[in-house]
Amino acid sequence: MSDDATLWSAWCAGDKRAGEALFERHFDTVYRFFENKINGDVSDLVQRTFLGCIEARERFRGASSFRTFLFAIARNELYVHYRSKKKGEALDFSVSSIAELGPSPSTLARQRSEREILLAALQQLPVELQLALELHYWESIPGSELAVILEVPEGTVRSRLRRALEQLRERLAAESGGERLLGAGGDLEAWAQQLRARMS
Amino acid sequence: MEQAPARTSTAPPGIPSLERRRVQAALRARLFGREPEPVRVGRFLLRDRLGAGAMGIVYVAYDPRLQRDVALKMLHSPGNQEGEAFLHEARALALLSHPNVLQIHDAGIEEGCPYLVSELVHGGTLRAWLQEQPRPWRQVLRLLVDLGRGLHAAHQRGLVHRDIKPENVLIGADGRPRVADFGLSLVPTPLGLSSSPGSIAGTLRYMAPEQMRGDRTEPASDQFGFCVMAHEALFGSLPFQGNSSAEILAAVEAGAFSQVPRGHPAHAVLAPLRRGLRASPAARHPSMAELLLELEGVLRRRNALWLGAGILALLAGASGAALVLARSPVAFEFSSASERDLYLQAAELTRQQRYLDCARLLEKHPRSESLSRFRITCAATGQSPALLEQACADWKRHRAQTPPAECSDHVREARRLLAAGHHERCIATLERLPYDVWSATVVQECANKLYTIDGFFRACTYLRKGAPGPPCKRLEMLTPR
Ligand SMILES: Nc1ncnc2c1ncn2[C@@H]1O[C@H](COP(=O)(O)OP(=O)(O)OP(=O)(O)O)[C@@H](O)[C@H]1O
Ligand SMILES: [Mg+2]
Repeated sequence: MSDDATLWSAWCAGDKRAGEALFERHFDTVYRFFENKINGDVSDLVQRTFLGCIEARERFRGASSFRTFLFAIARNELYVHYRSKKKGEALDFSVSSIAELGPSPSTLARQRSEREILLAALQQLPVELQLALELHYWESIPGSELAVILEVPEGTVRSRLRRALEQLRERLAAESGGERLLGAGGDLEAWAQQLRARMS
Repeated sequence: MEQAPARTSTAPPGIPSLERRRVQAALRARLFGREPEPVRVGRFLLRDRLGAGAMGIVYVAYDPRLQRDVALKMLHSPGNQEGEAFLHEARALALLSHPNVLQIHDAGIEEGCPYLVSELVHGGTLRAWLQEQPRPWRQVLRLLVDLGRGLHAAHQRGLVHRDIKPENVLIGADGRPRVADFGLSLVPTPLGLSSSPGSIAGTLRYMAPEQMRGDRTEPASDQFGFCVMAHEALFGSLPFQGNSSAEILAAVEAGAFSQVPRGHPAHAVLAPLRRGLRASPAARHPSMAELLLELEGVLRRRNALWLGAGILALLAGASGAALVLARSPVAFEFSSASERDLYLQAAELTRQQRYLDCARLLEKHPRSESLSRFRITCAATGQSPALLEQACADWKRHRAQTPPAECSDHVREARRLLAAGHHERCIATLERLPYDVWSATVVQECANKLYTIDGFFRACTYLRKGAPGPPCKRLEMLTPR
């Protein structure tokens, strides 16, 4: 199986089969990225992300991984989507959360699974913090790549991750049933890894 | 493949997985021009996503067997072993056939998630319909009455909706409204009231107090929801104000209705609606039927007055007669001159506001559909419950005996077979068709003359489609099980 970079250059050179292979390989990741941030059909956003790769190909010089490049475009599409929905309103993604931007998918007070509780808490974080958390701890994107995706310096990424974890703990404590996910506390990094393991 | 990262968003198989595969298949086709390979649910092929609610996702799907588009609603997994209960409920729903109830075609379970297949309605919700443009209150009321009939038909079969709200009313391109999502709220675990204060789920606004408290729901709970919806549709405001479920509940219990502009033309429906909005289910109308009668009364009262004025003009100049009758909002087809004379006599009585005399006059005559309806109007306007009840009973009987144009063909054929003594063939003509009351009367008649167990059984099966109870004693004794 060819690696991403090879497939990518083949696709750019017009090889549709290579494009298809990339699509099949990364579809799940991109889909997952939008799935918990949009309440509705995500197909348009996923489609735009893949088409966006082609449009933005000059920006991708193989410096980062294809996945990172894809996430950067996905994030951009997400912001465009929210902006178009809230026409005229200035949006600050360091303040607004997904829960405010998109109607949250399930407000019905069903018996919620741990996963759903975690999701609800995540969606209340400012978008920037949610993205940083998910990409780093769930998609295993290293800090240096995260800086590319989020378009901020690496130092900012670190502090952002820290803030995100702290706020997530606060949100979880406030969610009914969320206490179960808080664990012993103390070491944030270790807690995040635990969460990750429990959710897989 | 790269390492599989822990997944927050990709839940176990079921809706999330189906939806992901649907999107992937659609994009594969869109981006790379591949032959579309739609995801299957049962025998149905998922196409576009129509929307989503708290309970699941609704798709346009294709039924290859019957070669038509349908609406397919995937519901979130009910948890443990509730699948059988769901299918049971779905069967009961599918047996209900009413023009104002969304027709359920099929149901099943896919990857642990129940789904329901129903007719696809090209149109929108009642909410959208109301927001589209200002609607004359009579048009709104007529639509509500139609919906109420659908609801009542369901109640008569022991089905309770439990989630009446404008979002659950679908209006087709033909303008016919249907109640959707019957009894679905049974499927997921019951609603809790844990939602944070200030943010009140839309559905709660339409919920009867006994339901909010988690008590038993009954047809009267639907009546409550219906009245909230009707109030909102007619007056543009909810009957009870409040920012949390507790506040609303308090308003309901105190009977603290919100104000409606004094001279509102639909004012006459306020009293019957408010009765349906009483906190205690027992204080509401005994059933939807009584509520509907009153709402129809409001519609008809205006008709009657209008007719009175029309008749006056008619008596003044005979040449205007045809014109006035043609414009009349009630469809009058006079089958004979004597019927027309009777009608004129009755109209004169209404002009003199002698409504009850008029109702009694009409009672004595063999009646047509239009005269029957006229009689009901008079009894309602004259406010005589006894006459009204009698008039309605007669009218229903009359309706049951007169098949409407669209189903008259097979009913006529069945009647012919019945008269000729071909009982088995008579049943055979009707049993394959969806249930309707006109056919049912024929089947019922036929069943009483049948002498084979098989014939009985088939008649019984047919009649059960309409009403779950024993259709007739003799049948019940003879049928297996
Ligand atoms: N049979 C149908 N034909 C056409 N559109 C439908 C049909 N059933 C549902 N829809 C549409 O699909 C969307 C989602 O419906 P759904 O019933 O899931 O949500 P809801 O009514 O808003 O909430 P709830 O889950 O409480 O019922 C709605 O916009 C509705 O108009
Ligand atoms: Mg609905």
